[in-house]
Amino acid sequence: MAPNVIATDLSSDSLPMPKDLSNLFVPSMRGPIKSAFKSVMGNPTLAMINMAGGVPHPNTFPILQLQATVKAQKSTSTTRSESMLLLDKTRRSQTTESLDELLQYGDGCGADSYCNFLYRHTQRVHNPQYADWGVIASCGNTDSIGKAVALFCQPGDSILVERWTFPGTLSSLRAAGVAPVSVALDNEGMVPEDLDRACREWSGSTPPRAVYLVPTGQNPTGATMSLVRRKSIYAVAQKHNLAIIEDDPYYFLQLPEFVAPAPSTAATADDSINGTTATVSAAASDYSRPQSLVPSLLSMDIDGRVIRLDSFSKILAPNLRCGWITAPRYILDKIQILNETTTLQPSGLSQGLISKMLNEVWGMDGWNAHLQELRTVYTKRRNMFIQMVEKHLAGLVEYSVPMAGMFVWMKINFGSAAADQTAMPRLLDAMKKCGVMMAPGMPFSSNGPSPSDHYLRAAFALVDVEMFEPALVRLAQAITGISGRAPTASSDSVKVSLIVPTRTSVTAVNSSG
Amino acid sequence: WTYPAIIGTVVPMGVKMAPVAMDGEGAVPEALDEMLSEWSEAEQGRRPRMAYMIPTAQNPTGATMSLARKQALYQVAQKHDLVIIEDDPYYYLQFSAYQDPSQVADPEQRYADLPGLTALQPSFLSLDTDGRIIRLDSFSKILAPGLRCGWITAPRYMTDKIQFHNETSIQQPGGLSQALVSQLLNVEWGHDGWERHLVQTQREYAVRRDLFVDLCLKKLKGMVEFVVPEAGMFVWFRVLLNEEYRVKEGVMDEVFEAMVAAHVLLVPGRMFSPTGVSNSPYMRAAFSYASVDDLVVAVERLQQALKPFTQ
Repeated sequence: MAPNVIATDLSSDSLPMPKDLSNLFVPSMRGPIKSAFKSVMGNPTLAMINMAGGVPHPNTFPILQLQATVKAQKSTSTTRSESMLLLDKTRRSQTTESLDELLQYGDGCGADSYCNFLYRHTQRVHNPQYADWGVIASCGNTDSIGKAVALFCQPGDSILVERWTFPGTLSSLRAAGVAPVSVALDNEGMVPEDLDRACREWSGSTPPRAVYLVPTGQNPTGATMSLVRRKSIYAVAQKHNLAIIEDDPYYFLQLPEFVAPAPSTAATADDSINGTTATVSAAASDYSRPQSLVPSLLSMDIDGRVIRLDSFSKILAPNLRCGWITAPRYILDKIQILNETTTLQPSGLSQGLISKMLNEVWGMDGWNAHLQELRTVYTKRRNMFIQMVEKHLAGLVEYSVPMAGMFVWMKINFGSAAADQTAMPRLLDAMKKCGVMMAPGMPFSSNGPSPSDHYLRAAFALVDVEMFEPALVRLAQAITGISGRAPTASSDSVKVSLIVPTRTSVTAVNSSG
Repeated sequence: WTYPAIIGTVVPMGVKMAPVAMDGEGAVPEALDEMLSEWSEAEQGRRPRMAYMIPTAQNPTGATMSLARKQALYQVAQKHDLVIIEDDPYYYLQFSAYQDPSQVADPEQRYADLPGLTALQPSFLSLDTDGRIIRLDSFSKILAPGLRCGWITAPRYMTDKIQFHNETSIQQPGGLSQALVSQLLNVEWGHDGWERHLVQTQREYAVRRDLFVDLCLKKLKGMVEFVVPEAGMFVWFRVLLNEEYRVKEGVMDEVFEAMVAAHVLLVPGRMFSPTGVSNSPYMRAAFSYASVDDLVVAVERLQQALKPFTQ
């Protein structure tokens, strides 16, 4: 089975074919490499007795049925109820394969029903503007990043990345012998002028062929690119013929403008914040109104140069180890080949459960309702967290309100201790002692560590909201202990400047370390 | 001859493969020793530090190493300080020796002595006094492939490195798969139930092996040569090409096409060759998947397809 495309969208007839970027592939991935299995199997007909596949017979699979209870999605109801789904050993359901099929070796693309849903979802949300695109299953974005990088970079090559980025990616690059080339960030993410400069001034033996970025709820800075910013980045990528690896696990966690929680909601350990009920407080903003999402880079990709990485980790659960990659079909064919010698595809149980739930139990409407609910949860958390930052850390940190995701990136104001190279390590030590953990900036730096990187990344997704205040009080104490400065007088009203982030840029333009 | 995915893994990494001669039991220790003793770094590059082997029901040859063979190979590995990757997905699919059906005294007892968990051929890991074996186990053939679950056994300082690599790639197997497997093995089955399941699985494969081998010995006599597998799912046929075809260029492609035309699909040997050798008269048949009825039909079709090339 080829990477999944459903030929139901007639409008794709009028869309242009993607540009051929195969000259950007590493040598070992170029050319008409047929996957080993494909070239052997050819097109087995039903008449063919297949003694080629070294596959076990499903009679030996001891799992007879999979039953799961999942939350029901009824967008009109405020009471949660449950739905049951069932996967049968031999019988396919209306949309989903049998357990035997899900538990058998796949072809490196993922289960058809899983990919079908994600194709329709991607069509609906991003509406790609070139023909012959498809989706392929992945084991999450860490897996996808490795494959996308392997397509364009071999040991000794370089790849353009944000000045601060996901440490998992930096580790993957190190393991692959690929050097990161830092591009400056501001409070909207990667700076197009600096991407252009990095490409123009490139002097290495092999030019960068790809740029990797996290455009929504960027890890670690929390920055979200506006539509204008995305278009500018895309234009630079076109100018220098770069592939764009769009790592977008927080896309559906885009959040509305910050509003300080009213006292009645702030004080209670509201179950809905911790995700166990659907009750929406009347006093709070109306989070249930559907909001528009900033369009993805995929949605503006007329060339077919975006390899979009989606993950269920933040929108269903991380250890399902499921995601998907969207790209031109000829690129997915290469990813399939990479899958064949590595992961093959995600667990059949994960795919089956997700597919059945999305295709039959929730449907597209239920899926959207679920995503909206998640946004509600994250919005409340963000708002409560920011409120506490304002209350306890005024003057001690600089930050922007994140418009997506789960991270707040804070620059510590050490005052006169700022020049002290031990300030940050001492802060981390003090935080440990008073019992608050946040990620220091260093592992996120694509430009090597520097003692003047006075950053912390706080994640507000996991901790109980009642702990936000104690956490930030402890942080304030730790900072004060080193800077000698107490927080400036806090006010209960929300400062106007917070709604339109205008703070100084997160990083210096990328010149020094 | 080896598993195509290992070829597909190392070639893009720029890692060269040094093939080691095999016989009916797998890699030949003397061949490995000689290759390494005569290795010239000036001509061949850095000396190999690692040997990759499938010691049980080897893919594609179906060969299973005896204990003595493993001990000899282990000694060669010690002499040349090699790490051995023991890729052993068919380890638990060992069965009793093949018997000609006419020799079987009591058909009911034919499968009475399947090894279960207690009478398996010892692994390389069990011989490993140095900690130079990285053993790869998989649930693919003993539970189901789609669980995407297995495990690696090695010295802890090595598994630490593997953990780092996992963090930049797969993270770990899906939680649902792990949970199901864990619950099944720990709670529902326990060790006794696990052994019973393995015996059942061994039986399933033994029945297939016996049927398929019986048919091949009868119907393909003089057309093919093969070692009867003691484990796993593969039979590795050497096609006994007649004089006309033995020297013909591209003959195996013709043979393969004839089989496809006869509606029976095997895998040409060249898929398993690190050097891409194309004229070797080998083919791999898997007896794991086709139904019992289909196995009968398959052998007839094979006979039909091979006749012109072997008479």
